[in-house]
Amino acid sequence: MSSANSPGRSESQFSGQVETGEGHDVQGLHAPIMREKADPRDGFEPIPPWMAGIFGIVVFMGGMYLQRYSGDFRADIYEERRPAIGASAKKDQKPVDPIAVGKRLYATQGCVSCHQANGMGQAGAIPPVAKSEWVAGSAARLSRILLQGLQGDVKVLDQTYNGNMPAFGTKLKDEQIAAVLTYLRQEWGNQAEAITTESIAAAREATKDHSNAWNAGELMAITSEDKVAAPVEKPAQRAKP
Amino acid sequence: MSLVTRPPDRRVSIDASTRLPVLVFFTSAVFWLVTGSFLAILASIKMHTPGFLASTSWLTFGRVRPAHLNAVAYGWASMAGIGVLLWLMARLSRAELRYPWLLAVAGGIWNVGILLGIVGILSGQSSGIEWLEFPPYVPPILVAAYAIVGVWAVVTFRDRREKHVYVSQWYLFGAIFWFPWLYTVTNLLMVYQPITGVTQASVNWWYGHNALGLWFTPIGLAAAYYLIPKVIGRPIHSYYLSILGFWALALFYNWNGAHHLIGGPVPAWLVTVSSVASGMMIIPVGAVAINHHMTMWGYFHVLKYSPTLRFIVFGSMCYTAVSLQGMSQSFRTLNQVTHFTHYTVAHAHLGLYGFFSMVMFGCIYYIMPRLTGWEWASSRMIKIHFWTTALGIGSYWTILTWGGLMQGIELNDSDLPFMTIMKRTIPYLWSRTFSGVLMTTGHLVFAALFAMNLLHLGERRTEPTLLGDNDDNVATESAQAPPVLGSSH
Repeated sequence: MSSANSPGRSESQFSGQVETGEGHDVQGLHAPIMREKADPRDGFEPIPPWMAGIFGIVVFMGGMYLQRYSGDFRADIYEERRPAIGASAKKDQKPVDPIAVGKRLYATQGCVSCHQANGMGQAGAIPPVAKSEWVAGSAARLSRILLQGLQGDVKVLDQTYNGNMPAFGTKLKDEQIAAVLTYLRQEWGNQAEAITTESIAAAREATKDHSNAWNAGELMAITSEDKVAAPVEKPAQRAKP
Repeated sequence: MSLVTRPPDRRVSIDASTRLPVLVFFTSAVFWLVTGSFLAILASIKMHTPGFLASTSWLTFGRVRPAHLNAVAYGWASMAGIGVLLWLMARLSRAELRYPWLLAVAGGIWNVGILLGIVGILSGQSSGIEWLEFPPYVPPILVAAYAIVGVWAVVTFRDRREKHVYVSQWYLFGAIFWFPWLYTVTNLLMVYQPITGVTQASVNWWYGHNALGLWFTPIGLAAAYYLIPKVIGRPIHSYYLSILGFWALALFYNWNGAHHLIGGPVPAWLVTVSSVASGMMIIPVGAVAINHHMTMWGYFHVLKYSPTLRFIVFGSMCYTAVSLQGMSQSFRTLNQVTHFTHYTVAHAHLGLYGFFSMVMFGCIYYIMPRLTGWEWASSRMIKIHFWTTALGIGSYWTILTWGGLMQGIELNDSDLPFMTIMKRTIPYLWSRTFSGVLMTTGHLVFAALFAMNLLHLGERRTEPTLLGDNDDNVATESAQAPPVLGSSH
């Protein structure tokens, strides 16, 4: 600013006059000047009210959108439609379908590679899970097979198998074991009751000193079901329709 | 805000002081424009005929496409933009450029950088980072050249004799400070001390989008804000809209980049903030559009005569169009369809070509005769340039937008095999090559005109070359000034 006001600058003698287009006498000036109109100036029309209105609405909608889809500005929320954290979260939580979870676990945890997609197992080595009396029968025995594994001869559907069922107790959580067993009990024509997370927890508690794999004889000796503590809040279990 | 009457003769000496650097930048820009156009056609042909020149490693698609992008972005658009920036800054500050040769040296250094960069990319040394493909030895060269330009623009502003800082200068200032910040920070974070993970993608698109919006856009708008009222000889409609437009751009644009990451593994809030900021762009764009439109109101007939105005107004309309399109694309609903399709390519070209390049053409038509003292040789050639480029970008955009929408809808249909969808895009890709050839034809005509002007070839004209002129009888009609406009163009 100071430079513009300093004396001796040639245009200071011109200041104060109003420029009206090419108002000077240009006749004597050099041709390049004649070809141009004056440098642009500012007009001072007001901002149209309708425009200000639209902009206001846009800002308001922007705020709404931000509030709704910002995932509470958390670094660990990647899905903008995830319900907001807080009071409403529980209400919106959908019950987990154990069948769907179990089906996924059956495919991803290695079950399918021995017991097969049709649940028929492999003759002589891997017993079937489809129609199996072990699957549909005692939940306590079934839980133990998955928790600690099973070794040695086992008779299923009048056939003897000798495979090696690995333990999943350390690999899967209670609700995952419950889900995959529920899936087994309700797939391929099996129609047994769902197995709850609580009953797995009880089985785990009852067998906490049993670190080795079971054999068929030990399992057959178990005749009572595990004692399940009264559940405070039981997650919804859905039978297969 | 008193309106100061200026001694008009200073214009001549100011223009003269910008002659050398601006001509260096413009000439290089035109060279890179033509180079970039041929690289573009090559890349476009490979999209539908992948075997074309595929046995030469230097000319494979993965190298030609980034070479095209960098040649037109840093060679053509940036150099033309810097030329316009320097000329406008000197004019609006009413101050001569000091030591203009230094800026010409900066132009030379910049050219060395681009040349090394393009050869580097073609030889397979691309950094692989979108918009920053130049090999790591190039950015310091560009930064050195830019430092001279940036500092000199500020020095020129410090020398100003004009009290009033006109809206164009606000935008120029934005570009002068935003570009070095974007370019150096991103190079540090992406090339020299690479950050990892999704932050890399965020920074990449922060740069990629801001290079358009905070480097090219402000220069283009500065030029439009100067030349529209200048050519028609009428004040800009509203100072208040100018303020609103500038500050809203400065506030919102910087957030826009992350909308390129919709669907990507980034926190939801980042994309949402970006979508909202993109939506807010309706404010700066609307303000500028209304401001320019109301300034033009009643003067649209001037488009018949003035090459400058015709290119600039076309570019400004594309600015409005591309911005509104960009807003819609930045929301998840539409982006789910258009992401990773040719639709995005059409959008990018509407911005950098339809808007920025067309404005730059308009500026060069205005500035060159004042620097060379020679009028444009042929009105017909200007018309050919305008119609080939305008129809070229028009058809390019229309075809790829439609083709991209179809492609996007089909890609979201999991029953359709990928190859079927690919094959269905081929007719669109052929049309894209055709549009590219049309634009390149215009560029060659423009380059010829530019060379004729630079070398004072053709018949000497005493009046500015206007589009109403008939080239065949220049001598007889030059005395007849076109109606209304007088001699201004």
